[in-house]
Amino acid sequence: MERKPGSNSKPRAAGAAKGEEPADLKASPLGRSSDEELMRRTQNGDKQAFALIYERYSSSVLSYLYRMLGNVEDVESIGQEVFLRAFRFAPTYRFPEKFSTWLFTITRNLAINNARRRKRSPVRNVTELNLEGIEVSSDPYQVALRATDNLETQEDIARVLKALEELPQDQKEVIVLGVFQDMSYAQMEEITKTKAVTLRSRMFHGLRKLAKMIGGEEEEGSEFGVQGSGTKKDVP
Amino acid sequence: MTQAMDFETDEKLKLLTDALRAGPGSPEWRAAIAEIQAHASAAGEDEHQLLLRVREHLASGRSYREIRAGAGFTRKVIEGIEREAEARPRLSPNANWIAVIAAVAIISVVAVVAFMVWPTARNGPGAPGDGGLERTKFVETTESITFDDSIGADWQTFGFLTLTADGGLKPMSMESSGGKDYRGGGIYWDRQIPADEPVSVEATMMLQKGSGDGVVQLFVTDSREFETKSATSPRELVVYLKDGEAKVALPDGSVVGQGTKLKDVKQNVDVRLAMNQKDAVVEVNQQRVWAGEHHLPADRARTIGLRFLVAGNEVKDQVSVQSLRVMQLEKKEGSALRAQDSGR
Repeated sequence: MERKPGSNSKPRAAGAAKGEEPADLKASPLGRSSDEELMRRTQNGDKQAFALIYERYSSSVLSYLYRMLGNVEDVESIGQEVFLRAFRFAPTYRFPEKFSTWLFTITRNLAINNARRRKRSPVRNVTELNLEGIEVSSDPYQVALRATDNLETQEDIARVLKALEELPQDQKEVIVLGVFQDMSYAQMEEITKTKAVTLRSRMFHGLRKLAKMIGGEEEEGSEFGVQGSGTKKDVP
Repeated sequence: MTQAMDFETDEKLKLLTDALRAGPGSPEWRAAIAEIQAHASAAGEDEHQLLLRVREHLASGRSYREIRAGAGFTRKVIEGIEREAEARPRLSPNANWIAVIAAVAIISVVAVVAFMVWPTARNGPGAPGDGGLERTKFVETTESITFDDSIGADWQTFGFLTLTADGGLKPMSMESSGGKDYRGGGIYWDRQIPADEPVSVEATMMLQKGSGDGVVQLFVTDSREFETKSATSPRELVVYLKDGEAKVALPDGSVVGQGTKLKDVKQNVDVRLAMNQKDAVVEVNQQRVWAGEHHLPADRARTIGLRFLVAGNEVKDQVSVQSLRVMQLEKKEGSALRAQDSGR
């Protein structure tokens, strides 16, 4: 399970392999510090504080990028750039701005720039990639299998997850930020520079599209994800 | 759910969208469930229940596309930070302030010079004015659609040709009529843009080699009375791709601006049409094709649409539209009028 951004539980030193817990970080005051306090220390040149920031947010940032970009190669390069920029521009962070909002603004901007560069280039299948240092969970059916024993529900979950990839980018983004990253509408408003009312609309319409796919299939037995919206008028 | 939805003031919608964001188990979720159960017979509640079910599925699939950084990735980041820290100059607070003030001064001078010089340089001597559209920032995406496999719910079809969305919006395959009369078909956005609201429409179109019998058009009209065969309306501002060239046509039918030659090979063409109450600017592949008065009525709401015209031979896959985006100055909920509100 992805660790919720901002949680201070059980920090692990950046660079340490799984299971290795450097003694100097165990239950230390630094480890229990808030994100904002860690950023204040980072601004004063404390690299260890930033390592904890990285530890807390690496999974959320990488997962956000993967969900939005669907391309592990880009996720790896942009993910690194996110944390390098966060460190480089740490002096520009101003309390009391929520740190996660600040960090995801950087992440989103880099993702958008990358998407522009990569416009229309084919996305490689993640299962074909084996890049060093990244663990992925990308098969919707495997994810659904772990979620429930009910076969019908498994099928629905997998379809919803696959359909998520087909949503327009702005609707998908609200779902990724709000649902997967637990961001409030106020946070998303700051990150995307879009009014909360618009975000609510995108959340609603995005989920409605997913619901239509599931509902439509149950009623009509049609193939997933290829149905029109049913709004076409008859033409002579 | 065909009526306009007001996400700003409708408390029930706010409750529902709060629940959809917060997810199962949250207080917002319980409140939404209670609300739905209390109004079990109301229209639309079934859909709300389906929405909540989909949200539950997303919560169950939360680990989908979850990535954890491994040792290799982390090592690279930490090495990068080490290098960054070593390279970071040790400036004193005073030096920082001096650097900031100097940067602000330089940027200010550059901005003033750019402001004074840029519009003249872009328009060039004798070029038609754009009514300030060049400097208008369209920041709010009010519609964004790709035609990968469906035509969006907010779009209506019209005209003679049947369109399909399959890796792009395109006319369905049809038998040759043998004639040269154009037959048209298109889609228009269900919402209307008030005439006094500037709008920017961006469409990515695709031309295949030899698409001479197919025309694809991006248009803005003040009327939804389309001719059945040609699928045209009485007054339109049209940007169209035909015979490997991009052109602009005004509501009186006159073709204006310089036609932009396109390569005679398969390629994407980015078309942008920005307009306000009086003026318009048209760009094709980031190059301005035309700017000037568009001559659409200044007091009638406008409709945005895409249209295909076909003459004679089969044109399936020769022309298509991949995506379309509508941008405005800022989001004004309800400012884009629903068709039924305007008496369609």
